[in-house]
Amino acid sequence: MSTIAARPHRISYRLLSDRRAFLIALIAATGVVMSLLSPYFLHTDNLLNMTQFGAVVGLLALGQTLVILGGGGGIDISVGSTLSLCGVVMGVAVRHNVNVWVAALMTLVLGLVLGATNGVLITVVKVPALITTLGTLYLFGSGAEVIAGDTQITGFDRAGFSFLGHGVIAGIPTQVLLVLIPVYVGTAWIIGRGTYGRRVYETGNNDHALRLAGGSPSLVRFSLYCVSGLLAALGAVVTNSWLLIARANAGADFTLDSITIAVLGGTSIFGGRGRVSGTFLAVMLIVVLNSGLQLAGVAQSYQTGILGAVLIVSVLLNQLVTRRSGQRP
Amino acid sequence: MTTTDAARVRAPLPAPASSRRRLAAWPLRESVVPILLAIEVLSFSLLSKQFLTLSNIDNVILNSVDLALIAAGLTLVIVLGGIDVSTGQALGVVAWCVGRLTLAGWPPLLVIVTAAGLGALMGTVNGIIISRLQVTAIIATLGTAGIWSTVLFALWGGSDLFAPPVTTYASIQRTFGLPTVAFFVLAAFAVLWFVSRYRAYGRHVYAIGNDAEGARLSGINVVRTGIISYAIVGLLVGLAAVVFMARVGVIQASSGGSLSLAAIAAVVVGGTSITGGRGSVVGTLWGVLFIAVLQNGVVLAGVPPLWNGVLVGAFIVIAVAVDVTTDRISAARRRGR
Amino acid sequence: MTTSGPAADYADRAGKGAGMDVARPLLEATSLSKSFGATAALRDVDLVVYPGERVAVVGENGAGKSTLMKILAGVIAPDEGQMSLSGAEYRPASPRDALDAGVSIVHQEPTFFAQLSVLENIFMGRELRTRTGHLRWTAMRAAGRSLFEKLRLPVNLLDRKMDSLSLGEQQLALIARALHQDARVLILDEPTSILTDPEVELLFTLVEKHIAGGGGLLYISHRMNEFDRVADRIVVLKDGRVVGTMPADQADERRLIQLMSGREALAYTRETHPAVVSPKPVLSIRGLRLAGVYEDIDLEVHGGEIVGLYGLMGSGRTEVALSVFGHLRPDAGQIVLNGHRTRLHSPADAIKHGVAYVPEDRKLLGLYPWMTVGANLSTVMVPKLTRRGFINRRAERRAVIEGYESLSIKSSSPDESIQNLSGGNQQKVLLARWLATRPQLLMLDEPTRGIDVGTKTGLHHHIRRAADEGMAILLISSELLELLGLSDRVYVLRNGRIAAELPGGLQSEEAVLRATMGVASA
Repeated sequence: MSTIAARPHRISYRLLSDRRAFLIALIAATGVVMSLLSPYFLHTDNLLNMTQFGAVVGLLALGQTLVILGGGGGIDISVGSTLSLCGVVMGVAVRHNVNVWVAALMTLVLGLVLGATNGVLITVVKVPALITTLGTLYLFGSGAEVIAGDTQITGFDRAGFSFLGHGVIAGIPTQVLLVLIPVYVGTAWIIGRGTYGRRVYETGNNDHALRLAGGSPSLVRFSLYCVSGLLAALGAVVTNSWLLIARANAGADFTLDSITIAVLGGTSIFGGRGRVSGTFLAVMLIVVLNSGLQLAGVAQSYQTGILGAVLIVSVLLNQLVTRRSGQRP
Repeated sequence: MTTTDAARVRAPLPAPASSRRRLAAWPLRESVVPILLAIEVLSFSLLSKQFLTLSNIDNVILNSVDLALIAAGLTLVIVLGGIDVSTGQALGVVAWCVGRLTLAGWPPLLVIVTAAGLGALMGTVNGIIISRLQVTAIIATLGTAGIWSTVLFALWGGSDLFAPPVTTYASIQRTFGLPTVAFFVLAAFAVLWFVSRYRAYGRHVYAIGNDAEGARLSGINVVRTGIISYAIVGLLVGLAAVVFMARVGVIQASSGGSLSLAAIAAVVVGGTSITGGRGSVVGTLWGVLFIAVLQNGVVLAGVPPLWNGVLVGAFIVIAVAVDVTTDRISAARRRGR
Repeated sequence: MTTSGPAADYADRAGKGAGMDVARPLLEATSLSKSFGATAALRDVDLVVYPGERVAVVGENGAGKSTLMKILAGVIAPDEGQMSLSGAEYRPASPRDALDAGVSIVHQEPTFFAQLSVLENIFMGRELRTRTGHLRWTAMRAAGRSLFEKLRLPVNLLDRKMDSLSLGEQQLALIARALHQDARVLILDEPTSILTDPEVELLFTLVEKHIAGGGGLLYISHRMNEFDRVADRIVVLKDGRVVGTMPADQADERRLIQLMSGREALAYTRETHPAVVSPKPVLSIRGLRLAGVYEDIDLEVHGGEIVGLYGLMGSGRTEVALSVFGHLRPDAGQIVLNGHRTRLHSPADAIKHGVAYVPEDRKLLGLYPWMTVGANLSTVMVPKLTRRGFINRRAERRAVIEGYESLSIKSSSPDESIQNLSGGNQQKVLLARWLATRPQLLMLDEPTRGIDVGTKTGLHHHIRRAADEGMAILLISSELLELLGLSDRVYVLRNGRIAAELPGGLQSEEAVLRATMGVASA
């Protein structure tokens, strides 16, 4: 068992206060309702198709979770723009006949650099994270537009690159099996068991205490923005392989979604509390919801509103429970 | 933030000389944006002959009035220590209603009052969730942003809504050679400035932003002040929607959405501290002007419009970085080190 | 003199024959009780303040002073008991109620609106308005100006931002605010600890003016040499009860300390005198200076020795420790650890040199509130427990259990939330965190603040044992008896300078107090 996050004793409290239980119940309920609405819902190929959609937003939400977990007002609202810029740059590289896999690798490095830019501004110059990433949201987003012009960049379908976004292994979409799941499992492992993860939680809990215990909260936070940038770049690679075009606004809608998912997954906006598995469940909820809505003939856009409502209600519920149990939220 | 450490290090010994103090007290922060704006105007007027023409000034004004109205209200909320990322989405919903009511032939004044009321109502919802139910502002307004955008999507229902301006006062009417609407916006800023300076409510907003618990202990009704502030943002969003409709003439599924972050940017560039307690609507007016002139001037100077965001983003970061750094320097000066 | 209760006080005072009309007490509290969970913070406390009277309230940390003041100021409500102001029932539901009734408090670590001007701070929540609700700035400024002139405070402070003032100036501004609010009863909590000497004089003048106008004063302080200037009567609190009340002119320090501490003092007596001390110092500081905070600090700590560092709040004691720990960077001077002159850039550096520091403020600088007891305990060891990027859980578990046992931490499991532990056990976890690193130098900053007596004794025992095992210990404590009882030697800091170096043991008490207060030795 993990010794990281604290666990209160009473079972009832745990069920209600652990966001993951809440999410599993919600996923199950949504699943039941959807399968009643549409007999097609429970077909395996539908279930698997649903997950394709979740891969990209799942990667961004993971980065967002980590940044928020690091505390100190940490937030990265530039993830969507980072994805856009990375995707476009990769497109330009491919257009100049760089091998598409090499281009993908370069893209990841670019994501790291963009994340590091955020990290330096936040931890060294000490501009609040919300402002820094608001600025880079514009900066990276417009950068993508400047580079792409008004066009969509195509030409990704070479060297087997489309396999990543369209292939299926053992019935599971490749980007889920080879990207999303390994990344989540790996991150959960490192954050849950690794020394780095421990430092992340400590930073989010009390950065002064960590510094006095010989750690470096600034370094931890800096690295978290790098990771967020890296994951956004990975999201760009997956997007390019899935859609086979790079657009300057590819990531525009993802920023709010990623924060919503992270918070919905149980990550405290003040940092120090939250789990990778919670975020994963929140991604699953969105995937199920989205697919169900599609099958029920309701436009995808309704998902945003439902998510917004779920977000507020879940936070309220959580507060109610923590207050009842006598602990401060 | 290392406030406690800073407090620890702060000298219990006699204070440094007062002349040094006065230097630190010079309103560096307040004058940065006006100075930058002056430089901006000067350089653009050298770069482009069209920049200082009347029609271009019209352009700048008409393109920024909706942003200005939202940012004015948002200043209060940010000074309060909160934030609202749902303003653009709320504007979309109100603007759609404005378009519909105009087409239905409602008298302009009634449409405007309805828009303001609807906006205020939506703001009040935010206010209740945040101040009464104690949900963190960014999460609450993220949630309502999602809800509003879906509401707009449902209202929109697949077909763009075209509508004429509610009244020509919101678009082409001019007074003293300038768009009339500019004077309305200036009036809104003046009212907010007056309220924040000469009404107890306004000072209470600042007090809460400095120290919410201390404000409560001083007998200030923190919950009510909070709800009123979000309602005011909503009201101004409603008015902004009228102007928006008049400017754009068409409502689509995602109309207004981009204004949410743009308004935050304008407030922050105007010198209001994102952590609350410090800033003013006057600063925000400078911030809005700065961004509007930048976006306009860049185009006239022959830079592709796509570069707009790059410059805006850079200026957000630079403005706040300068702010944070001068703050640290003056704090160090105060410590006499 | 140890008679208590309003009637006795009244008789006492009437007997003293004060010239004033004392028919009716200004503030009267009877049988106040307040519990927090299982701990009784106040038990059946009576308190009276007459018009024109200055009452000093003394007591050790945790004696219930702050609870009492909070009840009087409307911050918290008592479980039992009544209060009255000038004969009328007084039952404040909020600090605002208390203010409106004329009871005003200035806390030791005051809160204020940092980005607003002094004038606005003075009027916040009680603004002068026109009938239509507009703020009357001109009238407020005039009122503020006349207030400051009356109090002889510099008028130019009024328009300065609170944030730009020195701590002392802030404190005076807040006292002015309290007095402005038509305070009939003014409560000052340790007001002088951050004031400079001229500022203290100014404060006493303010108090005299207030008293001359028929107001009452409740004054909490540890500085006994102030009492003859600011107190007519002294009330002693211990363990939530009033254990004595006496006229200030009859009080002497020894008696007060005796009342405050009771027999407890004996518990501190050293068992193993003299300590076995290493020949070479583990820590040696030469001429250390941090501008505006401390200067010319010379001190030595040997292995096996507990060295006390005593001083009032703001005397620079915490900052000296933080400098040795690499958290603050001194401007000049040397820090020599084990004979090697070192430059420490961060706590991580200091830890490598075998230095440990247990901070004063557990919540702010020590605990990870949302993590387990185990994770809180092992944090410093984490790098050592790491193999290929992952924590060796079995080794961590072992280390945690070891820490548990050596300090007898009461907790159901290391996987429990740190928040479920009592303050005393949390402090033990922090101590265990550092003892587990086997430091050569252990610096303890107020290790027993806010901790119940039983756990406190346990902690003293553990500290002593660590020293006996050869550790060098630098102990910072505001509780003089604890400090003297535990320490082999004591340095006294006053205004950032070492004022005296004295032997440990309770017999040094008077000398330490004299050095602290800057009184020439008798």
